[in-house]
Amino acid sequence: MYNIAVLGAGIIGVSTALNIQKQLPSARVKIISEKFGQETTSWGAGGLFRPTAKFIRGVPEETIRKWSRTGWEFYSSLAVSDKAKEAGMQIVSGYILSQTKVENPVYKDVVYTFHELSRESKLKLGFGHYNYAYMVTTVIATVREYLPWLFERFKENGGQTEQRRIDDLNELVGVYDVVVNCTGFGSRTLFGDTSMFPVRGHLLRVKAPWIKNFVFTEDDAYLIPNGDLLVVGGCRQENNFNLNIESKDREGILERCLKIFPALKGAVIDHEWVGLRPTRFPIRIEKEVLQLKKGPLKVVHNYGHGANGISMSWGTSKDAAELVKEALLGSKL
Amino acid sequence: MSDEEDMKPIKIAVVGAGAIGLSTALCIQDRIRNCDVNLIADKFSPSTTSDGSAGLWTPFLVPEDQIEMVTRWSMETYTYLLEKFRSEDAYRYGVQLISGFNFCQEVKTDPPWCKDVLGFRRLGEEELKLYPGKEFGIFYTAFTLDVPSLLSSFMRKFREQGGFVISKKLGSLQEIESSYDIIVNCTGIGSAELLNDTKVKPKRGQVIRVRAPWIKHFYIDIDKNDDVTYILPGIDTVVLGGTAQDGDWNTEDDPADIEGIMERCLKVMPSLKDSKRLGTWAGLRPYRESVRLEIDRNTNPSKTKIIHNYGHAGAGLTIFWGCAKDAADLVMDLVKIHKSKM
Repeated sequence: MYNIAVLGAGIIGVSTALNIQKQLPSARVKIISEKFGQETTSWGAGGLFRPTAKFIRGVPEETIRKWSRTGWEFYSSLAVSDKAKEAGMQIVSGYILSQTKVENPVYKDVVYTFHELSRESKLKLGFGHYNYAYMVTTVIATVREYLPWLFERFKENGGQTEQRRIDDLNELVGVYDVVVNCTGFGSRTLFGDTSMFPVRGHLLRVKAPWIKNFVFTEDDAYLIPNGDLLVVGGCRQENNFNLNIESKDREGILERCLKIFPALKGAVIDHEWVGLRPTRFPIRIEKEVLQLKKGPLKVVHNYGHGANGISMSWGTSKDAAELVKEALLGSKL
Repeated sequence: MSDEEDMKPIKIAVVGAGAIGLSTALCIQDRIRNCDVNLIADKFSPSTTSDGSAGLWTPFLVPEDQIEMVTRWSMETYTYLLEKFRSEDAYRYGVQLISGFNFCQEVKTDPPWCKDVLGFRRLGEEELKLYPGKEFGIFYTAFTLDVPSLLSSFMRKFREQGGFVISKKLGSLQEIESSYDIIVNCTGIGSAELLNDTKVKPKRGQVIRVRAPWIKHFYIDIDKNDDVTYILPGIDTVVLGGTAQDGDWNTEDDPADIEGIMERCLKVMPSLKDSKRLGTWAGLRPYRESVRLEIDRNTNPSKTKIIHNYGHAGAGLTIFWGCAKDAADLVMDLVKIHKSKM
């Protein structure tokens, strides 16, 4: 019986752990993490499914499409099932606004609809200051429901957990047959990957239940419905490690969003959140054997998802689980 | 004719304070300079028929001979609602932009309003697969209104613009004739009794209200038994329905109806199993063979003029603004005649 440790309990850790259970039903899988649930980076994410190749740099488009399709099949099947509420998956229509034409994005293959608005429609909706507007029907994960739901499924399958901070990988040598690194930003210190950098984001969650659509721009202004709250964001500050909430960021976000969508007026702020998108180009999904002081350690990496953690979680986790299987049973020829 | 008489404000009574009455009163205030408008009703928001409705904009089951008029009224209302939604007043007026699905059993032609609404398309084969048993469907962007918020904002504006409200149940319009130059009758189902209009018949609609905030689209389905099933998210609640029982005056909840609605809605959206029930309600859609929006020709020409604006069936929240504007135009016509006679 294999002993597998998954480091990290964010969306990547839990999704990977579940996929490993699927691929190796007899293995003992344990999630070891310092942070769980609401302490993870994933907790505050907006959860909008619209993977965009240009932001997933260094990964072949074919691979992104594969991850996109794998993720879509999983999320959308939940969204139309009787589990939509408990799993926090909802089908949402919305508008993507851009100054440049959005040509054949990766998600177009899979989402329910993607079409360009006529100039007339664009103006009628008040999106005249954007050259292009697209209506998209996709899925949104309300992470504060989705992550706990995945976690319950993991535990139901016999998964174990341990709340612990690992500072020295040597502790794991000889104890686990494979260690799966889903530590996101933690990989910088634990695995010495200095190519990782944070992209700081700030989100507000407001009560504005009359807004049933998402509105997304690349100008740090977006609205994403999340269950009974609406995510209002955001910002993208590279190499900013500051986890404190800054009021000027909030003011900027509200100003930009109100300008694009005056209907936001009347929204009541429920809470705010700052997170560091764990960014790496490319996302690292590979296996290796580390030669440590105490001995060799088989490691499979699954980290660096940056702004695409939620949408790429299931697809990358499936690949990582396959690598775990290869690492244990030998490579496919 | 003295200048003084010319300056006397026209006294107008609007009877009925649902969506039709309030919107008509506002349009009259906008249209007619120098008028005093009194709103007379026995029921006010949140107790009107309009308040209990889901507030959905969708032209529905329109008889052939009225398609053109209903389409015009519908689009005028759509334009008005879109303008409200785009403004900072969206939440105060209870206007919610929402897209959704409208299914039926057989392939149909596109409705006449398809080119005018936002985001209209026919559902593709792949999408229809998600809804077994449905042969045809359309998707479009429309509105659901939080009617109590809408009527509350209308009432506020009506009063701000000098309108006066009288709470009173009338036995007939003749009771108030002597006090007004023009009466606009917006009494909906009340017209059956008030005017002895036997053409007004209720179409009973049972609904359930639930909390299900993860549902972000509306779903409407008419199946082969002509059962109507709908899931209509409002701002804070979702309305599940429905029934369409002709000639049924019963406003008590019917447990069998409620069970049937829940069963059919669960088929369309299984995750409703996790919805939280908040309440149930049965309302009477004020049906008539057609909307009556006209000057009453039967009144004595030297007496108070009456304009009718009732019989909007299940389309009240779809056509109210277009009808209110037409009613205000009719009032204007009467005012011109009245002035020319003086």
